[in-house]
Amino acid sequence: MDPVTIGYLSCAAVIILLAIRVPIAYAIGGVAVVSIFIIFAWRTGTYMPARAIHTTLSLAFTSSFDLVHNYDLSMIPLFIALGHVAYKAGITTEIYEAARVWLVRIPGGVAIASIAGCGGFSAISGSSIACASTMGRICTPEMLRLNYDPRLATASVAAGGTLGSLIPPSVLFIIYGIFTESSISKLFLAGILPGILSMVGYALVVVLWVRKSPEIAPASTDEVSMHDKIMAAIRSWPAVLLFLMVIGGIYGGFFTATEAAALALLFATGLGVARKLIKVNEIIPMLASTMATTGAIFFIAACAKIFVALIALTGLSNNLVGMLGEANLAPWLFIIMVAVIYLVLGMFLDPIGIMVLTLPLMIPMVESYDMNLIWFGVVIVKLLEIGLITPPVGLNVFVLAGVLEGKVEIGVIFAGLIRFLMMDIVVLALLIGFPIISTLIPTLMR
Amino acid sequence: MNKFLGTALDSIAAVSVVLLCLLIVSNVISRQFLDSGVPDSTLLVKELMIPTILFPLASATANRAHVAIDFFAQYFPARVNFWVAVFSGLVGLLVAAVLLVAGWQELVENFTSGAKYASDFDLPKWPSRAVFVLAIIFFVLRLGQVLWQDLTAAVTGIPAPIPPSNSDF
Repeated sequence: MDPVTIGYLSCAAVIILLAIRVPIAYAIGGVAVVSIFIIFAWRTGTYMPARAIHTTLSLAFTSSFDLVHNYDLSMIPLFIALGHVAYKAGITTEIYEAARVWLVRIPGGVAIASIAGCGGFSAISGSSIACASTMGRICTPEMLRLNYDPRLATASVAAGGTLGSLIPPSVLFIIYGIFTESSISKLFLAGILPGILSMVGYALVVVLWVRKSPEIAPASTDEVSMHDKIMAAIRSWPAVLLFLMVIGGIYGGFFTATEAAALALLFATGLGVARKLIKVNEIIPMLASTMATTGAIFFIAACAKIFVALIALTGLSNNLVGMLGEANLAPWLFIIMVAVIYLVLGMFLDPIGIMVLTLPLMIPMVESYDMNLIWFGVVIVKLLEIGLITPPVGLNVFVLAGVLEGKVEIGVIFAGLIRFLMMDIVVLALLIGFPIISTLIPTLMR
Repeated sequence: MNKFLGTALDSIAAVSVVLLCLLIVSNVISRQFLDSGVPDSTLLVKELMIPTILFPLASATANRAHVAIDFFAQYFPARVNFWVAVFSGLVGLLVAAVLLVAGWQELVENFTSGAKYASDFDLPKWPSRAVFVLAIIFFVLRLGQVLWQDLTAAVTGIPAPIPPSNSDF
């Protein structure tokens, strides 16, 4: 059997294993080691298992060890920890509170404030799920208390949570950068405008929805003085400073994204301790509670690296690029095809799984079209974000439903998300049609 | 004992995060004010990444925190899902076993040859390999424990206990 056929069969085996609920890491890792063994065992035409075992072990170790033994990837545990520390240090609540007091009297204002709060949280944490989970605890109960329609109270947070992947820092951008060997700093900067565009789009959805059905978001009777508004804005300074530290530092060339992550984590922890919201002896247990997530993410990535080695061995990517060349597909048609593939995958798979599974095959094809990898990364992350709120497996929806402990049905959240999904498609079309939205800031970078 | 071990491994990972964070910050400060970074800081951060990432694998496994797709499996009969869980564990064990043997070979090779990084302090390569092997051993043990629970569930028809998640992050 030729290696390309083994490559196709391996992909099919992974799909079958994933469909029967084998964890992503096990499925891709297991198929990769077996297939690599088969390729080497029959490489010379005769069965030579001893040599194949040695090569398979060596490839498996090098691929997984090198992925973990990586300076740039230390950003992921740092940014995941930062999200948790920011919540404990009260920074997250302040972001939301600052937006809430300014917008509370506007119909749908608390929903808009929640979206703005999600945007703010996204600017200091790199995970959409963490964003939906944290903001779901803070914003949704408040909206339900104010008699907001549960569809709006939940969907605004579930959709807002997706900003965590697009607004830098972003775990997805980091993984994309590592797998495509693109600049993570440039990817972070590229995500700013699309993130703001998405945020404004979501706010617009709330405005239009509330204008059409005012009963879904009764205006609050809470009196908020100008003094309270100004004080709330001033109190949110740590979030502003953290964002400036991360983005300003990277943009200004003062430090790398990894250094920004470390400085931001140290600052947030120090602030939490100074405010007596975090005790020094609580720091390690607090960070330890975020470690399992980091471990699970990395194990998927490490197994994916072994799978990448398999794809390279089989020559599957070159085969696909050749087929694409023969098909003579126009670039716009290719992008539409990519969007459809990712939207469908997003309905069933988690974003990191999709990314590590598809990038090894996708990137050579993208490069064959001479497309900008930074722009493509933004498009991919936006597509993966959409997957977080599409049924049947919208992770943000399930996380939010879990946080609300059954107070709102999952079906209700999905029903509320329809309008936000339509806006996502509009934003996606803009990002595809106008690459400058993504490439403008990175090109201005020092 | 299990809980203690899980907490201990996660805590070591957390300490590693703190150390790598401090190391990176020290490097920035040193570069800014002393015009030179902390020697070998990049390498040390890489070395700290091994316990940071791999030690929590055991608790991720015990908490069944590895991401899987439930959509199709929810339509399978319960009995089938029990055996799928066993099969998943076996696939996981295959991956873990490969990493363990591969890691062990690397550790022995690096230890006996005295291989060193081309760095300021000529740091040896074997400690990170040793941590890698240790972490994978804990991972294998946890995976074996989960597999045993799933196998028992498949044989008896009584679902395996679902561990409480300790974090949404």
